[in-house]
Amino acid sequence: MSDLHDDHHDHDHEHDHSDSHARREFLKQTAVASMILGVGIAASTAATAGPLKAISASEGHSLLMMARTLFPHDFLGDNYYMNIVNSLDAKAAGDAKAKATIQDGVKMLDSYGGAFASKDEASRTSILQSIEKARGDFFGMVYGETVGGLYGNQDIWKIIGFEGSSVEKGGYINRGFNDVSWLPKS
Amino acid sequence: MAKFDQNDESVVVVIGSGAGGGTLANELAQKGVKVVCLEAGSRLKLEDIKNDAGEMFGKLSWLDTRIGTGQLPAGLPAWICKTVGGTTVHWAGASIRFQEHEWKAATTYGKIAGANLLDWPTTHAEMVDYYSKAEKKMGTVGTKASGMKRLPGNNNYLVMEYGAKKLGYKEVYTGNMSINSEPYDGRPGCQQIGFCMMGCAIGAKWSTLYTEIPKAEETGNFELRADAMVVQVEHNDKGMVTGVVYVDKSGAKQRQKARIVAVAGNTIETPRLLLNSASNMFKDGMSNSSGQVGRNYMAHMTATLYAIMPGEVNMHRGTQMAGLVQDESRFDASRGFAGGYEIETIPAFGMPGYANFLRPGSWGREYAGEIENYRNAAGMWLVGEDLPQETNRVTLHPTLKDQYGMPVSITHYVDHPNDTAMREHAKQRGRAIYEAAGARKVIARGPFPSTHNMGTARQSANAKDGVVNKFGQSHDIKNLFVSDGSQFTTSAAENPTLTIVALAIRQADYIAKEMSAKNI
Repeated sequence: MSDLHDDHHDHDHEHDHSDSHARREFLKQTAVASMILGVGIAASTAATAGPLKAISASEGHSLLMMARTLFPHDFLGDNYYMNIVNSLDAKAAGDAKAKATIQDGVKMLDSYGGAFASKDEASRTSILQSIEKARGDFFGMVYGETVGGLYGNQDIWKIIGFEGSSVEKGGYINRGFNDVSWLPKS
Repeated sequence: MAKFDQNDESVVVVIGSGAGGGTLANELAQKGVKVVCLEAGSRLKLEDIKNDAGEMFGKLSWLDTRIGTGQLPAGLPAWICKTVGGTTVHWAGASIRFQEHEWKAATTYGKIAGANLLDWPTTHAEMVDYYSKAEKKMGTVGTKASGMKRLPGNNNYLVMEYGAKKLGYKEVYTGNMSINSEPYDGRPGCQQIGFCMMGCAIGAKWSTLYTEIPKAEETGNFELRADAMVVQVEHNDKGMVTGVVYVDKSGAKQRQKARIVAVAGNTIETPRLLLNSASNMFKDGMSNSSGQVGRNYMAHMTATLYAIMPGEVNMHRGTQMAGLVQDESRFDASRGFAGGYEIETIPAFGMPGYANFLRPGSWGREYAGEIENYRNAAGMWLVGEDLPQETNRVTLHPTLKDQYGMPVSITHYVDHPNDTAMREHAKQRGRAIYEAAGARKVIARGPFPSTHNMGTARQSANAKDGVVNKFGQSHDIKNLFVSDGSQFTTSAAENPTLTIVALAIRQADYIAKEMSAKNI
């Protein structure tokens, strides 16, 4: 279900990114594996909020801003993005290699002339584009956590409009499966 | 349910319990033939089926190590199932007959460089009655055989229908789905639940899991062994098959003797098993005197479009694929490619699926905006005939083995230029449909891992061109059969399950007749 056939199959996106090659490389390496492992597909087990265990508050704030820059939804409070930071923190707490990847990654975020978290969205986006192109583990790790953490969160489903399991409600046969109202009368 | 002795040489062993294997096994059992069905996956109950894309992907899919090369994803070359019922648990239910000319692709399309085109030895006329039998068995709506009316259209369909009709398309309807529109064959009517491809939680969609398999069990002529992975087909010094070796749930090797073996493991596992059954007598693999086992792998030309519409669609509501535009399925050389394609509705696979697969790997404010527009998104799947190419093939890895000790398969696929031309045409037409309905934005993406897999042990009139004859019987070994989509000579434009089932019903008639005549 990931993007499989590269190159020619994708080029008619309304706005393709110039870094599409790097994106595809990232996918080849991680997307299929992520799917198999259920990362970003299974409903996420939201990390419990609380003090960070393995990373500093400042590192946590940088990661939060990275997640928000990757998928900026203005209607979502920081608590939704903080869940992602907590998941990354839990990962770092259990795995020294992951911890190093995260901490080195945050240093990289801050290496573009000042603290990443205090820059505007355009600057943060441009920094992330550079980091994505570098193809390190850090970008893919935070990306995967963010997609899974946001779009696996059933509270966010409700906000965005995915209605989840329906069989226990009798499906949609009496609940609007054909209620489209805006189509012109043909 | 019957239990047969592993040394019983009179049984027919059917490998796989999906559309091909499950149907063949039941048809034989109904005729009084003793059948042992060996299924690599486990047996789920209806209550195990949940409306959760991630959970069901994990429960149903074939996730043992496989390698994809060429344009296929390295770790998941195809999206098919390892479970009792096979991919009929996952399939969307679309049940369209082949068009007459599609049985004669080589004759109709003429010579195409790089394509290993061949006419089927099976003809349209031979299949008409078997299609009706399949439609009756499966409860295909919109057919005389079932007598059921078509399903009502959901929002995703109504959007596509509006745009398609505005463009002048005529063959626009909710399709012939093997999903009950009313109670049929002891199963309920569709409730528009919207998770067809995660397994139908109420059994309104036909699947061998709760139709053919329990019906076969009631005959007393059928034994299902789940969690039984066949690793080798054995033969005697006359070159006839004698049984199979399989690995049971505990990891122990078992042998089941057989009078006849029918292989229906889907298009990757079937050639894998034949190739892994190589011996001194069959050095290149079993039934491979032509060298065609594993070759001509087809996956259909596919692409998916998602469109942001001016109002809410809620595409997850209702039957996922009950929406069809058939006008482009004709053959019309003026479009610049051979074959045709179908336009079918498809939703996203849940919220995580939408975010992951709309534009894989994308991020940023624009992409977040597209995700925020989920309520207004409509989706369609473009699926058409792809051409057989000898170099698109399944082979065995020289060293890497799976948990059963069996060499891992390598599946290689690249588009033929005809496939690419068709995909571009289809995406353009699909986009036009949505724009005619007022789309604000249309996003095209490439194929998902294929659910339609065909051709790796194909039917041919001459033994040198393929692996089996028109009854799926091996050209080399008369008591060996191929009973799944592997036997497809060409892919046609239509979703393959109906044709797999029709061929399996016909194959059962042939096997029973040949057994009675003591020919096998």
